[in-house]
Amino acid sequence: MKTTLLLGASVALFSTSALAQENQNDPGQIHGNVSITAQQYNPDTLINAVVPDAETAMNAFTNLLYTRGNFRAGVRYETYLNRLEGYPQEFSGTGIGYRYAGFTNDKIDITVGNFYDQFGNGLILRSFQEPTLGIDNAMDGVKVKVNPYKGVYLKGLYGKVRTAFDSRIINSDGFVRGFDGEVNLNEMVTKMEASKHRLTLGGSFVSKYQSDDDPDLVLPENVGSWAYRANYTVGGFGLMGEYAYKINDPSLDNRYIYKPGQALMLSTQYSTKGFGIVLDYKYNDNMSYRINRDAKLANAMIGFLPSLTRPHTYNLAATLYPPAVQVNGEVAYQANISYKFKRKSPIGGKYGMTVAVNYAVAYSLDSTLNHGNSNSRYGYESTFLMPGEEKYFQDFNIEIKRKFSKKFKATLMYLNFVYNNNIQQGARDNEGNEVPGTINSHIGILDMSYKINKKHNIRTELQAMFVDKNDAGVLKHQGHWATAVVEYTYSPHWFAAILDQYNFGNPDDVFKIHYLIGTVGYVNGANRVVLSYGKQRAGLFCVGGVCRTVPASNGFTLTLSSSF
Amino acid sequence: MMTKKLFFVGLIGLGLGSCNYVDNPNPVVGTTNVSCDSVVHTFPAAPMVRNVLLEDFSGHKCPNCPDGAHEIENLHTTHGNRVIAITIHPHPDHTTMDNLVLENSPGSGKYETVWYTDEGGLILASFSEPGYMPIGLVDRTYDPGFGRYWWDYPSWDAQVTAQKAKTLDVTMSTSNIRLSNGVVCGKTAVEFLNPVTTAGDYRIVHYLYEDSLTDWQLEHGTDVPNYLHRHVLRAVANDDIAGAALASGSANVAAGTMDTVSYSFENFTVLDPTKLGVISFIYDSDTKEVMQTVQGKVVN
Repeated sequence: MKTTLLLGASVALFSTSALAQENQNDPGQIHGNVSITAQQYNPDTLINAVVPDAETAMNAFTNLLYTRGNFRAGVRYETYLNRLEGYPQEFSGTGIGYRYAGFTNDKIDITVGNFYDQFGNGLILRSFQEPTLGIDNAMDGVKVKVNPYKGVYLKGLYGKVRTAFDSRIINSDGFVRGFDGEVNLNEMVTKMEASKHRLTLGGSFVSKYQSDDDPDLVLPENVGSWAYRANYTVGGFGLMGEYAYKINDPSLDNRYIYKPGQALMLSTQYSTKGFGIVLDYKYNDNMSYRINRDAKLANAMIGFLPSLTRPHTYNLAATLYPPAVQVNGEVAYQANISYKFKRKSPIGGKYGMTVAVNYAVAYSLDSTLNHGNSNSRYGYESTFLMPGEEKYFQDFNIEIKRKFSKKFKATLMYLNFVYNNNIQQGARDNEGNEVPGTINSHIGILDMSYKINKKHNIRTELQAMFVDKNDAGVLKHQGHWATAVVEYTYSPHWFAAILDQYNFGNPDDVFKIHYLIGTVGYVNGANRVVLSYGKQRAGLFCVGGVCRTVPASNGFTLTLSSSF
Repeated sequence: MMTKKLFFVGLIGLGLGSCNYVDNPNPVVGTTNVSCDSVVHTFPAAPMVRNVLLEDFSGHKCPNCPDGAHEIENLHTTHGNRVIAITIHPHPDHTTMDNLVLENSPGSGKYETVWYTDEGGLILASFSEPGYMPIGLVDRTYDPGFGRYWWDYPSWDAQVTAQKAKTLDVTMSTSNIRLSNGVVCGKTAVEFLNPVTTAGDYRIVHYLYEDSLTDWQLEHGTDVPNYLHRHVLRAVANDDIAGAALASGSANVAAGTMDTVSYSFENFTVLDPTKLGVISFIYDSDTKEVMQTVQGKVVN
């Protein structure tokens, strides 16, 4: 109630101020969007499908955004009745999950209530929503942005962090304060305005407060972190870097050690006509940063550690062995090269051909454990920037895209994953037990699209995955997989698809299961309705290195999205 | 413009003042030679909710025992400090699982630390050894399904939840606890909130534990050199696992009955005296069920 009153007072204050400057006849504008995902669950003992007591579940949200001149306000109404199976338990009930008001002019921008924001790459602060994963760490407080001089951007924020939703916003007990400054030298220095050399420098500081309620340990109640960054480009060349540091932050993630954390991200890229190359490096050592030191999974995050892997969309590559970012520490590299063979060249053919090669690998830290000495509570010593010997994950993939005629185009792709399940822990056997060791898999994909005529298009995907064997000569994890997809589009509104994911190489014949899903969809402008029916295997669903477990299910799924 | 500058200068100031560096993660323990008799014991307010005692039986060569420790972390995340856990390494003389708890000979480089205690073995034996670990006692409640007092770690959460929901019949408060001249001493205040009846008596037990020690642990076949051993039982007050009967606590006890119990620990072995704490609990000797548990750190 107190929060609502405060927000109401703020809205009234902003409204009065804004209206004084605006045309009284302007009623303002309302925009918004709706997203509904409803699922019906059938029993299916073969795949151990979950069936909740209510037999159906629905996640939905509606954003309503009001703007009038310099004033803006908005709410998001959320519904989890009940939440979809596998969705984080921190989401339940129905009510307002996000509300804010703000005011902007040429000098200052103020937001009160909820807001999302990010400092740099988000290493020490990233507040964001990812509804497909069940992540929403919206801040609740005050944010101020000013532009005191051309090219100089300052930002300060102070607030709590949303940690759950139970028919209302549940905020953290502790709070976060931070500021960020960024200087665009080309904007600030007149002589550099037209320069090809573009340089931006930035820095940020974030501190969290959480009370110490541990009877045994002296826990730091205020944990500060800071980061510096630079971004330089000239022509097709670019270089970006960010370094972050965090003071002692014992937590469930790091088993309550007092070692400081640090992270470094470097990225360089070069592109010219038809050719592009990107090289990335990431060093992350004990940089998990949460508003609740006892939280786990994707809950209560303040900082965000991005993944250095290519996000895959093809069924087998996206769902079987998606890597998760190891928040306690990893050293990762990625190289991405793409080249487009010209049209009417011997290799490019009539329409040209694009080849993209991607390699990503993540290793452990090069670290030495502190054992039985006065530093044992500091966990370990690590060598800055250096990788350890244990490989956490590797993804090598090559993709070839070619258009053969006005009607026919195809994509051919090969992928190789090395998945250390002792670390990633995403692979479980038929009984649900974790599979020990590393799984090496090879995937081949052929995606073909044929345009029958102006309105009709048919697309197929053929995919196969082959895994290696363990010491006993048995195929690892659940063995080989194949997926076939047929998708028919009747433009501009209708589409239908059938997907069959088949575990043909499962070492146990009982589990050689077809996971068949049929889908029908209708699209009209900003409105989209999709109905699907079928089986979904248990596994991990990951976005950007953040994952959640998805249970096996069998039934209908209806999704609806619309905006206005 | 001045307002904006002031705002950001203030914000920076707030930020820079918001870092707590902790040089000593464990509270400093007094080393003065003040005898226990001269200590003035003060009592904080007693918790008016029911805490749950989890006695986790473990061994440093028990490959699956870290699963129990991880579950305790999960329980603390879910239930906070209302779960009070103690890890008990039973003495090999009192268990058939001696291969899981025995130390290596000196100079072997690992597993040389003696984690077990005689009292730990006696507690295990008094509930009839289950034959495997990790396994635990949850408020020493009886599991009619298995006909025993033991609970496998996957069932701890549900049992803790059930125990938390029970009526709090007796509340306790632990005083400041002092380590002096090798003796740990303190007092526990007890108050019965409801009238209770037992065919036996109500007894109070005090455990001395040592927390957050880094040492070897076998974890799923891997020798982990810097495993964090938490809340390890080091001694039982008066070497008596049955504990002391409350003077006021037999047969029928009226609501409002109060008692204060002194305790001390002598001749115990610890690695780091700065990491000591005491767990006190009251149980019904007839049903064996623990009625309330409190915990305090040795801090002067």
